[in-house]
Amino acid sequence: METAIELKGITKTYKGERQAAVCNVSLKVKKGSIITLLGPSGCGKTTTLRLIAGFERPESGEISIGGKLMAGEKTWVSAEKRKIGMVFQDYALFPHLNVEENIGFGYRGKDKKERVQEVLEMVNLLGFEHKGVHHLSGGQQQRVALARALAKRPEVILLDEPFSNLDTNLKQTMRNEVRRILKKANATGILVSHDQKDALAISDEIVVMKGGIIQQKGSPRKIYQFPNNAFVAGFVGESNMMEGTVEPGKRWIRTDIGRIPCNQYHIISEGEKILISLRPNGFQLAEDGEIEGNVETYSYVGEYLEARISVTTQKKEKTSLLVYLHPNETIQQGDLLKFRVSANFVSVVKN
Amino acid sequence: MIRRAPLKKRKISSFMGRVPPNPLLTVISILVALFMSIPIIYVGFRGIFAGSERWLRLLDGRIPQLLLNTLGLTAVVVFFSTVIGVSLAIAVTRCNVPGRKIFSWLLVLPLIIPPYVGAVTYIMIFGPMGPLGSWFQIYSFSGVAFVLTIFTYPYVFLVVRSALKRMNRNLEEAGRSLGLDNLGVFLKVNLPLLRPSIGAGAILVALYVLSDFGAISMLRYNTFTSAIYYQMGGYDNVSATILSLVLIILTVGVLWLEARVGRKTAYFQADSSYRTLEILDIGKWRYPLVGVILLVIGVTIIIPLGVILYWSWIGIARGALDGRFWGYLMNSLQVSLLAGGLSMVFAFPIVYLKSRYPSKFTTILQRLSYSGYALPGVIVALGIIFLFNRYIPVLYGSSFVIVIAYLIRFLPQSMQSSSASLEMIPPKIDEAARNLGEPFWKVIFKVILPLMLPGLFAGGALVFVSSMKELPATLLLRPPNFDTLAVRVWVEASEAVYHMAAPAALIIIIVSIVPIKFLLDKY
Repeated sequence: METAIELKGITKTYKGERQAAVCNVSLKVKKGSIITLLGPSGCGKTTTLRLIAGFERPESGEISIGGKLMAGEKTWVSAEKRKIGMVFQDYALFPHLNVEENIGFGYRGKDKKERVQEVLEMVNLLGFEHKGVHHLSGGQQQRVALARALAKRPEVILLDEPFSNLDTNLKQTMRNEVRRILKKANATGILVSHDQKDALAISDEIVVMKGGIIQQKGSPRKIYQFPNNAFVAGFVGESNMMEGTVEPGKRWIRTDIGRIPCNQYHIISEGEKILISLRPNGFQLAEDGEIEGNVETYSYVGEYLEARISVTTQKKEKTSLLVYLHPNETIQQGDLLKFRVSANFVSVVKN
Repeated sequence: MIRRAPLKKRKISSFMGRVPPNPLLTVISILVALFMSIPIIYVGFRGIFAGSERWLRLLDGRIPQLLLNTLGLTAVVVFFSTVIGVSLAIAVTRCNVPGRKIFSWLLVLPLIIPPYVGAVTYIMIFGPMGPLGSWFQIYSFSGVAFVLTIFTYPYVFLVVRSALKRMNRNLEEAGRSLGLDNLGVFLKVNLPLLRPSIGAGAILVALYVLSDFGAISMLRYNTFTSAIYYQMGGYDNVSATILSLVLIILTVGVLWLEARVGRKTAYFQADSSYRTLEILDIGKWRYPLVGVILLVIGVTIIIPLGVILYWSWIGIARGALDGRFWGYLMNSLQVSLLAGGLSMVFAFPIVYLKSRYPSKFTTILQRLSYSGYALPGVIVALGIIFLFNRYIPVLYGSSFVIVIAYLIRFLPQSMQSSSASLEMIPPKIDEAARNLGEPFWKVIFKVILPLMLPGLFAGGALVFVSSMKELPATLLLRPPNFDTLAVRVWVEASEAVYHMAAPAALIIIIVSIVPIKFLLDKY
């Protein structure tokens, strides 16, 4: 596959800061894919985006877009000359222009009118050409911002926290919409988000960042089911962390609360002491389950039943597990439950 | 089914708002609003019915000439102060000019010098008796335009600077990501976004030029205000009314423009992801720019202040601070303090009603109280002379009419300030106090007034300072032998007794420092 964007060892330190906002980041983005830079605030995701856009200049490393070097030791292509479309967090629509003028802004081709119509159709806003942008709803404003970014057929579309200003229902719709539109335009999309749900729903690939460093990169499923460190496990969804020893055959991990199955035998060795992450979704109620405990607290949150289970370890100590059960189950405080664990939600985690 | 009130009742309630306002407060508000507006409305009324013969005579002769003078001066001053104000604002907010923080403060300072005082200082320099009298004819169109420009450009500067500071950086970056370079971003993103602010600043200047009397008359130029003044001096009040009506129409026209511009100022969204704007590196151009800024500061602040201090020093040495001088100061303080104090009392009822019971009715009350706002002092004086001469002759000829003129001219300043502080108190506070069982008046005195006291006092202080500076209405309405400092500056300067004018001017300048802080906070 063709590479749309490549970062090689990018480092950026802001003036007056001691710690680098982005530290030695390398990343390849396939053409036509959608990736999300995910992390808490201050993790360097926005800086990475601004570096790609050309609003910030890296102090070392190289950035290439579409195979052409944009930033390097001796190269610097300014923001307006990069073929990049950007969707800002607050959309940054020009308030003195209407929808059509906003979308056509900066478009130099002779087919301006047709192109504006084309992208308007893509974002389902035909008929809104002459509306003022402050008369639009949040979702419509975002569509206009996206259309404006797409109009020039850029190599890459950058989206800065695209869903943070929308309410929950609209958020879900716009996640699907943005994905549909980007795919239809065959554009490469890079999103920045602190919301794991956004990231899981929209991305082909997720890049989890913390402290200016990439923690893990992979498909949403891989990131969720097999986080490779404690930070990723805790940031993307919730997780039960525990230590264990790899049993002979490498299919089981022996822990304080019992045996846990594991698929990642290729990265562990017999007798090794490792840390594992167990997603709360990995537990199923089963009569013959090896793990048993009493219901400490539980709450019904609609999509599932969230329960804290108090388990007695082999050393006769109490430990507590977070478990998601099917919302159909009825449980009471104090009930003794038995669980089976699915290996698909067990991940070996580096310390 | 929803039962509807009878049509008539519904109409009244939609006019008055949902909750009927407190009756006593309403009555007071109505009285204040009428009191503030009747003199002006009366001038307009008299103007309309002045008789077609008079109208035709003036339309034939004086009005075209005055229109030319007034509009020409307004256009030139607005143009130059806008050019200066906008470029300086951009220079100190967006370019890497050394010392720009201090400059951005110093460039506002000319506002402490009332233009008529500024005119005096330049007469002292370029007047027939001045040291540079032969260099430049100050009693000319260019002289008036120069003086008004250098003392009004800070309005544009302030408004545009604050807009530049609040500009959303993402918009600039959006422009760049869409392929514009620095110049393109400035022309196609920044400038259109600044247009409402530039317009607002230009309108402030236009309103000022239309209403100025002091500087214009001192520099012996003739516009509507000075013409009205001299007509009244010649006891030709009918001609004065007709000219006033034309001037009112001009002013209302400008205010109408302002309302249109004002509707478009919602450009600056509160931006949650606020980041400080990029400062542009303009390389070696910084140094000539600093030179220009220093020149402006020299011409607008250092020279006028220097001249005033110099002549004050001479005046004091020659015994200008005699008993009579302190008498003028006492007169000034007496009427200005009274106006400031009363403005707080008068502003509260209307401001409270408008904020807590918003309706067409309270909006009309507020608008009526703004009648004298932006209107020239000579017109306010004319209205007061008409009414008091005819209906309350007892007051006419006492210093109290001056206080009334000040209130009519400056009450809106007090209303703006107290309304700003009232808006900070959420109506839920009133409701909480009522809910705890306190009656309406107790809530006002125990909760609302104490909370909005700073704003109320600030408004009173603004009115006080404006009153200290006020010239035209004071000149026309003062009882015999009741001179204020402003009047003395005008009289002494007209007779070229500069050492007597300067100490009074100095006091006015010192007093005028007070509202600068408010202006800086506001913009």
